Amino acid sequence: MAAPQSSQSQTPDTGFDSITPGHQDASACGAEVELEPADLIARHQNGIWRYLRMLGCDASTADDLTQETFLRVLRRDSFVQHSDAATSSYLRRTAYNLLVSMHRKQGKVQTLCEPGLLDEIWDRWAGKDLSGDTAVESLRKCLATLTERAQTALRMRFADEASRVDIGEALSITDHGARNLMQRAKQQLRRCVEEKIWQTNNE
Amino acid sequence: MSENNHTPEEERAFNAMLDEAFGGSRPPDLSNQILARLYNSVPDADGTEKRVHQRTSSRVKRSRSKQATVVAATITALAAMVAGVIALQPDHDITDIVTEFVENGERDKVGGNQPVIADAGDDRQQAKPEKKKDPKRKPPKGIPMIVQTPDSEQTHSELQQGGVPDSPAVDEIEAAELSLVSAQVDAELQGYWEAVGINPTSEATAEQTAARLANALGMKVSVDAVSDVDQLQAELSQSLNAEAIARRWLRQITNQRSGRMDAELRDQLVSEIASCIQTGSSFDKTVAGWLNGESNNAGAFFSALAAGPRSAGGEHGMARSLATLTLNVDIRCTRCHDSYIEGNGKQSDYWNFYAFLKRGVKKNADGKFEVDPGDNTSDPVFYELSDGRQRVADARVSADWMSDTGSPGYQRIKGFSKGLEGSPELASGIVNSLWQLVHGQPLRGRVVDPISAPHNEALQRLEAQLTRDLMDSRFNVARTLALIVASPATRRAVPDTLLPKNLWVANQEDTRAAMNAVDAFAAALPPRISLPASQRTEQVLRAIGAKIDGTGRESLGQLGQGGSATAAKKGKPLAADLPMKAELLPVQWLELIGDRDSQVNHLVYLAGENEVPTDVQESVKAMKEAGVDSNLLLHRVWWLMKP
Repeated sequence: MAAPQSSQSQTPDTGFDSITPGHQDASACGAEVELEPADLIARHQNGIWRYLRMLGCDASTADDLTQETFLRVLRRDSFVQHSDAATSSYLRRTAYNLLVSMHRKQGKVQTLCEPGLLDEIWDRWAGKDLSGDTAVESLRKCLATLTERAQTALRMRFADEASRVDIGEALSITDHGARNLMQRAKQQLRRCVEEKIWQTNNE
Repeated sequence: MSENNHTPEEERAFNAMLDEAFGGSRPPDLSNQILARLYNSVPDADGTEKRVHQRTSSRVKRSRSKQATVVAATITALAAMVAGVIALQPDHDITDIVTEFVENGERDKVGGNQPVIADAGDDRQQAKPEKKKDPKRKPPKGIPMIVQTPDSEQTHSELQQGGVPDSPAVDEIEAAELSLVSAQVDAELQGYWEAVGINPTSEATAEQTAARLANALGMKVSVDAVSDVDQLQAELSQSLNAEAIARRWLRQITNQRSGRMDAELRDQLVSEIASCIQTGSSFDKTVAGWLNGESNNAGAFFSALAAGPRSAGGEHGMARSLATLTLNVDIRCTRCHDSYIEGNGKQSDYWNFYAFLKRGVKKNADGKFEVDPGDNTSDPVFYELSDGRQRVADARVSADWMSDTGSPGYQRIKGFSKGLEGSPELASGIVNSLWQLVHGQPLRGRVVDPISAPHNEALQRLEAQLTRDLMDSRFNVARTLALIVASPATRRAVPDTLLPKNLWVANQEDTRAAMNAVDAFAAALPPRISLPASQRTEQVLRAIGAKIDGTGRESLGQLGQGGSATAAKKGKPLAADLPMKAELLPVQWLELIGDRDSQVNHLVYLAGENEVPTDVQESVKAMKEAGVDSNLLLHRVWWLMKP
């Protein structure tokens, strides 16, 4: 990919881009992306928070680690903003390391897969906007395409935190039936969201 | 993989999105919090921000080309150095290592940021000497920085397996600049005083502060170091000073009982603590070593905790002191009943912890303590509920005590020791313990205590700040002690009202205000000589006219009776802090307890004793007979007992 160089930057970006595939686009790499701290936080905080949630953090831990992530990066003299995508990737890696450190300090044994794999998953859902806003918005729209029973099952599961047995009882099916129903619904939602993200990216 | 061929990570990611789509937690706007912390601002009560320290944003303006040049030159120099060092080692392939190093360096040069394994490198970068002022933390000269340690190997393999690494390679946490944290502590403390409406006294002179510190820590602090946190840390870490501090701290941890343990064991223990202070090594690992029995001083540690007469120490003393140090939990009240005052302590937690210790720490045939980390069972421990029923304790550490860590509690001492390593509970216990060493009372006061700092969010923030810094510094206790000593609380002057010369002319309102300031660390008490128990008792008896000198002769009055003028001149004046008048009870919850003896028992137990010592019993009897006001009597009991 031919990435136009920043007018002010004399440092070639090619090396960095080569280890963060899938993030380059003309607007991100070529534009002047030196954001002030406030703008940088506004641009990336949703993405980092959602990334941490994706790693299994509860909301308050995600709040804390999001703050810590930005502080670590912004206080680092060596931090240079090359592009939105590179910054996002760097912030995510910092967040990942902070989470690992937190687990270690707390003596928790929680398996986290490789950051590279997590990046793939993140890229799939965060798509173009790096924040996950598009994915969540798409998901909301896709929910409307599900059957009423599937919507009820997922709502009970995620909004009410009901057990599969309770969901099965509410829908007059077994708990296995409830699980299958939710899995099918989630599969349908995945396809729908991926399609919507693809459409958004190609508009 | 799940049934739909999605990895658990993918499932979790999608579930998190679904949770949000169904109205669960959404990403909050954290801009204000982050920016406030970034610029080291303390949000005021009215929401405005007080700027304390602003970082210069030279980063943005820095020339990238200049950076690249410097990085390239550094890499070349380091690569040459590494090649030279490795060339001296016969079994190493220089080419691979140097190539790897240069490649890593190239990534530095072209990218600046290192998003993948670069965080490990970044840690090394952050650990450069100019940031870390502790010279003992520097890597030894001559060892090439790219040689992987066993730890970093383990980290890599653990990462590959998806495990949680236990290595600094992925550990981003690094303590901030000492002076910066000191400034933050300063700001937090000032904010606390403002929030509780207390005016701190003016600053004492550096000489006065140094003398006070010498009294508290048992070492001489130079006048220059009083206001220079870096110099302070350096002085605290000097070998003789570290040993003196370790000795005082051990006494404080054991509620003064270590003075009664075997001197040889105590010296070994002191030496190990002093080594931690001196070298800045991880104190959490030292504590873990004591608890799991791997340290040679494990037995000595438990002997220290259980030292003292039966009325004060033993296994109950051990449980109290250990819970305070390692978990920052106060279990004094809960030995007998659920906590009525603070409302979160359960009697069952106390006895479960006591049974846990009984199972994990045993005395051998020689009467020495040994850790038994195995799965052995022990005799059941029974305890009596407040309604008289008996219950068997379930040997475990309560999960409620480790809520910050999120641990489900521990049944084995080995697991407990492991869980404490790097934990916020241990850090918080150490911070409060060190604070008490310097200021005479823990930072986070207990409501049940007669003297405790008024608690509010500002004080909580200060505690959290020191706790976080201790964790970030890998439990470098010398650093935390330096921060505490350098805090403005240490430099407060004694209020005029409390000066001995004004003791009898000060009005009650001024005295109360001054004592409130003392409670909140905003004022200092006049220097006092720590009196042994016998002399304290004697002072109480003299104050009521039951004794006028050290000969033990009784007298009906003090003036003109019972001795010659010479003897009267030689008699020591009463201690300045001996309570002479009291309008209120030492703590108001004593009102809930009906009889006087029970009130005395509660106060004595609060002071860390299991039973009322004989000399205190005699003093109480004498005061009752002399008709001393009940409030004053209880104040004097506390004065007799307070550690």
